[in-house]
Amino acid sequence: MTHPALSVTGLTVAYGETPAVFSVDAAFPRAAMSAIVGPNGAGKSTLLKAALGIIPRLSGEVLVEGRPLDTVRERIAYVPQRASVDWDFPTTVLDVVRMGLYRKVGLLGRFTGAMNAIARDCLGRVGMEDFADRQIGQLSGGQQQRVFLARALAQGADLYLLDEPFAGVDAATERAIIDVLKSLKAEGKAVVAVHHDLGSVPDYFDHVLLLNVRATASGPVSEVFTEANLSATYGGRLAETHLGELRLAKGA
Amino acid sequence: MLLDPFLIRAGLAALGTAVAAGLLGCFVVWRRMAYFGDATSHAAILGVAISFALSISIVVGVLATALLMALALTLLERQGREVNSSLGVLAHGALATGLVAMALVPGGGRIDLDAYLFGDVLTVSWAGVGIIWAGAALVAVLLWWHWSALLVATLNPDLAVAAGVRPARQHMLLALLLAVVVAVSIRVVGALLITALLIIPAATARGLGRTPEAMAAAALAAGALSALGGIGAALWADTPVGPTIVCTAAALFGLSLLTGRVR
Repeated sequence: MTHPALSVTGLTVAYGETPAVFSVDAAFPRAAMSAIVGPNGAGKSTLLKAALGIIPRLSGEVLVEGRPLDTVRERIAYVPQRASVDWDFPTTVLDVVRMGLYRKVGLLGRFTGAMNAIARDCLGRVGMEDFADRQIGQLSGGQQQRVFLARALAQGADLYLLDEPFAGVDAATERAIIDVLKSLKAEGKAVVAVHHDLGSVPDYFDHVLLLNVRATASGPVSEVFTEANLSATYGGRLAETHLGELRLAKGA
Repeated sequence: MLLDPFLIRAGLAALGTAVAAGLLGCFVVWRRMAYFGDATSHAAILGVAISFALSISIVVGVLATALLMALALTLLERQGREVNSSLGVLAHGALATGLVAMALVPGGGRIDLDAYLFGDVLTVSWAGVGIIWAGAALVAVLLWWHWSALLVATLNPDLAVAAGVRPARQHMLLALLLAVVVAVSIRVVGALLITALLIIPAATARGLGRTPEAMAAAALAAGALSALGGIGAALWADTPVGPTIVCTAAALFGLSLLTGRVR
């Protein structure tokens, strides 16, 4: 039997006394794009970070292709939320991408040409090759996001975890990012993204986890992205008109 | 010729200090650890008093006290509390405790306090120079060894964890190296001005380097220039060496701002 790219079982994370994520079971398939969707404060980013070991989990299990996290770390790439990156740091776009290669090349590898070639190639995939020698702080938000995606690509991972990759980016960047993610899926890799725009879920994603501290539903978009499930996830926070605009799956 | 042996020793001691402080200073600036540096270096005065009380080597006493302070601060930060005021309390509390302890140590009245507060590089021995360069080498080697991990942890701690780097461990390493820098710098610029030597060359380099490596190299150069230029200026103007080195560094920083403006 093939294991899912990422699975969490009974995952619970708490800040102090309050659980941010409570007893979530979810599996994210390979060769697919999955979204984690839910209202603000639903624990979407927390779940992603707990799955990566950035935030300690209170209980539960995280498996990557059926194996524990620590044994497969180099096969996971992470793109953090843009605002959480400290920019008071003199570094070029190419440097940031090369940092993605750090595990592969070790101490002296930083200075070999092969590393630069891989880094430039990855910048090309996100349409940023002309910005290689710019200071990272000089780029727009969307451009920075693309550079961090290139950094993840350089890692050559099998599982890509992205925290709000489309937040605050321009339309051209959203297009560029989605094209890259679709090409990853075509290569058989798994993409899991925290996503906040309900309208684009059916267009972009195959699989969805609806989350509001607890998982309300998880599965193929065509089956679980229903009005009933969304109402259960968002409570009264989704207006009828908003629901009407969404391309929803037919509820059972 | 002017180059008496004591001057060569002083020059080498100041250069070694500039190497250690210049390199580590980049991380102090990037990670905004200036107050952290203050607290650790002020604890050194307490270390001096303890060294006298126990009749042990000053370097050992200062290193041990600075290490303890750095570890205490690291643990404090890990608690996730608002640490700025706590750092202030610890920094000045340690300094004042050190000064009081100095007065209580038997024979403490004969201790040349100025030498430990503001440095006394002109009387450094060859053994002292050796210790300074050993410390500088340790700082340089450990930073080189952990360079990539330190950079990732500085750029984004979450990204570092995801890549299998432990930011807490990297922070601990920096705290340890800070204690080493304090122990080797106290002879050159004194406890009160060590933070200046950490921050000013790195801040000067901030506008000059486009990559972390280039900035570290520029900080090293700015530190070395300040050390040698400062000793020269102090001899010429007959001023205290430690403060003159820091004045030279500050002047270089001003100059870098001007040239940055012109470009």
